[in-house]
Amino acid sequence: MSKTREVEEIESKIRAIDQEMAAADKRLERFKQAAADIKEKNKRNLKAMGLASPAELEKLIKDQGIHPDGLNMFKDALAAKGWTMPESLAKLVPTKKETDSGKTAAAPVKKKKRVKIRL
Amino acid sequence: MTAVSATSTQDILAAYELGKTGDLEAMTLQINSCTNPIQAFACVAAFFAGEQETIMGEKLEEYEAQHNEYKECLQYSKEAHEGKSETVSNKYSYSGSGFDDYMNKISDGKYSSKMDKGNDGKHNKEEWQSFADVINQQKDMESTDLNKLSTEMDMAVKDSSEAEQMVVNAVKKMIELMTTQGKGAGG
Repeated sequence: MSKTREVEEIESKIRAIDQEMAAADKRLERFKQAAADIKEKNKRNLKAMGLASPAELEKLIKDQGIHPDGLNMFKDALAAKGWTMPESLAKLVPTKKETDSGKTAAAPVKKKKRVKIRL
Repeated sequence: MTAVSATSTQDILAAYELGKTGDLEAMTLQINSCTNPIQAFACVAAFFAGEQETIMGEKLEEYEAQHNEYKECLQYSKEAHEGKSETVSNKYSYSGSGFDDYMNKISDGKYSSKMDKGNDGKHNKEEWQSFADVINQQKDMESTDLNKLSTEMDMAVKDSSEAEQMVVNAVKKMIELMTTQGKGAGG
C-alpha cells in the first residue's frame, strides 16, 4: 500500500470518529433539551394551579389531605398506563382528612397493644 | 364570569394570568386546594409529574457520565489513529501522558511496559495499531452501555412527558368545571 493511500485510510477513520463524537454530543443535547422543556412545563403547570413550588404543593397535600375520589381517579389513570403508585406519593397521602361532604375517608389508626414479656 | 376554553398549558396559564387581574380571581384561588376530587387529582398528578421529573434528571446525570466515558474513548481512539498516521512517514511517533494513562486504565496495566517513562512514549506503527484495536474494543463496550442508557433515558422522557400531560388535562378539566359552575351561578 502506498504511503498516501495508507494516510488517507487512517484519516478516513479519524473523520468517522469525529462524526461519532458529533452524533454523541447531539444526542446528549437532545436529552438535555427534552428534560429542560418538561421541567419548564411542570413549573408552569404548578403556577397555573396557583402554586409557587413543588414544596408548596407537598405542603398543600399534607395540610389538606387528598379527596379519596380524586386519589382513586389518579390510581386508575396510573393503572391505565401500566404504572403503579410511587411509594413517595403513597407515603405522602396515607390518611385522608374529612372532605367537603363531611365523610371521614380513612379510619383512625389503632394503637398497637403493648405486650409485657416476663423474663 | 368570563368563560375560558383551556386546551393547552398556554391557555391554562392565560386563565391564570386573567384570574390574577380580573374576575377570575376567585376561580384561580380555588385551584389552590385539593379537597374536591378533580383538584385532588390535579394535585397528586402534579406531585407525580415532579417525581417523574426527578427520576428523569437522575437518569440524565447517569447518561451524561457515560457519555463522557464514551467521548474520552473516542478522543483516545482518535489519538491512536493520529499516532499511527505519523509513523507512516516517521517510523516512530510519541504518545502523551494522558494517552498512556488511558491505555493503562482500560488494559489493566497490560500496556504498562510500553507506556512507562523509560520508553519515552515512543511507538512504532504496529504498536499504535494494537492500541487502536484495544481502544476499539473498549469503545464497543462504552457504546453498548451508552445505548442502553439512551433507551432508558428515552423512556424516562416519555414517562415524564405523559405525567406532565396528565396534569395539563386535570387542570384543564378543573378550569372547565369552574367556568361552568360560574356560569350556572349567573356569574
